[in-house]
Amino acid sequence: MALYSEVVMDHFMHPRNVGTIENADGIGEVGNAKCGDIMKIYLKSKTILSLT
Amino acid sequence: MQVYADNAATTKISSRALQAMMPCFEKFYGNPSSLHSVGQEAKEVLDEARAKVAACLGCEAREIFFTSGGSEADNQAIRSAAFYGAKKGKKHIISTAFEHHAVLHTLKALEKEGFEITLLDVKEGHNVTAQQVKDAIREDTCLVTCMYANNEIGSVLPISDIGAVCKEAGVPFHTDAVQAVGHLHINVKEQNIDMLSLSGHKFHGPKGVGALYVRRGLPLVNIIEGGAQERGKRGGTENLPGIVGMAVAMEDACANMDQNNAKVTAMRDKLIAGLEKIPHCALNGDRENRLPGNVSFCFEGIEGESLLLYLDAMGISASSGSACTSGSLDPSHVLLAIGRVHDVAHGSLRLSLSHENTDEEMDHILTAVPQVVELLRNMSPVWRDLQTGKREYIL
Repeated sequence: MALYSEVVMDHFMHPRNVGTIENADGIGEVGNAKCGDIMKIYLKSKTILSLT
Repeated sequence: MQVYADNAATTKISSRALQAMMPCFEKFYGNPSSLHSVGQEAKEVLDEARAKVAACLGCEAREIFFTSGGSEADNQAIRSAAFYGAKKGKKHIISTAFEHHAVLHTLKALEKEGFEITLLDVKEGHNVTAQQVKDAIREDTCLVTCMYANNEIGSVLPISDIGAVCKEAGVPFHTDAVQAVGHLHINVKEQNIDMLSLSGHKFHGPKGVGALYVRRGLPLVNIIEGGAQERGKRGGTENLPGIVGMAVAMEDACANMDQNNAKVTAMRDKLIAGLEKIPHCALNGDRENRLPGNVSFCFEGIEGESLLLYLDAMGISASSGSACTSGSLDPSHVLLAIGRVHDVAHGSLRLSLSHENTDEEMDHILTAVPQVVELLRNMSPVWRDLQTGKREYIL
């Protein structure tokens, strides 16, 4: 299907870094199930830098 | 294995229809409006095709007007009833909430021109009743337009009953029968249908050709102005190859209907029974009164487009009511009209079968769909939330 580029389709058919991280340092969510697209990003860092 | 399961979108042309079209390019290339014998031969071929189409619908040949397809036929039927209704001061039109856009958008345009539109609710049983139509008819109703069968969810409407109600009330009745012609037995006279739209490519005919049946005596307005073709009601030199191909495909579809439907219905029911085993899913459409080839489901926690892309990679051509590629965030108006909420409507799948499909293909679908649904659910944050109780299941 030429709807998406080869790179996009490759990641779609062979997903990388998919799953959840237990005790993540940060979780971000973008999108909305109502719109049919939703993504959740989990972050785990070795060192937590304080920005304050 | 390649499985084409999107026959409600379009069908492959039958070899008989294709064969019938070829002489129209090389032998009967004349213009049916020409006086010379080359033209008159083409006119005979045209008349023959018109008679075939009329025979399939149970009407007279002169009640058939060839168009560029179902959408044009819908536009012309609705615009005609509206124009002549308004002349009598009648500016109210009744339709259903899950019509095809060719109908809905025409009605929306008429609304802007001062017409009042009543769209009947289809949540109950994913269908309408003749009683709903009866209750909605008013003194100033100039048209009832209800589709014969729904293209997305396969519900077959009680057309004969609606026809009877309209006849009794003296209101013209149009039906968009694009999904029904060639698949269901239709007789416009017995069913009191005043106008009917059909499209050639939904029953293994060619694309770009359709027809409008109009009961004799009902006046038409022109959408395409031009010459005297189609009794002056549709200008433009006739698409003879298309018309002939459509007529042959229609004749075959009607002649083989019972045999084809027995096969297609069995495959449909096998798919429905198999797919219903997937947890948290729901069948869309009327289970009893259903197009022979329609299978439509919503699967919770996934998104239809992803489902289609994976199925395509597995050789299966299917469709979804999800609208991501069209640039709209709203899912199909049909799924919303039957009461599916946005979250669930996005996870829809439509498989539409033809007699050319096989039982082996159904087995392939029944292996592939549950696999893909599980795979997508496993990477869906929505599904995770559902499973951990952070979000409540809808289905």
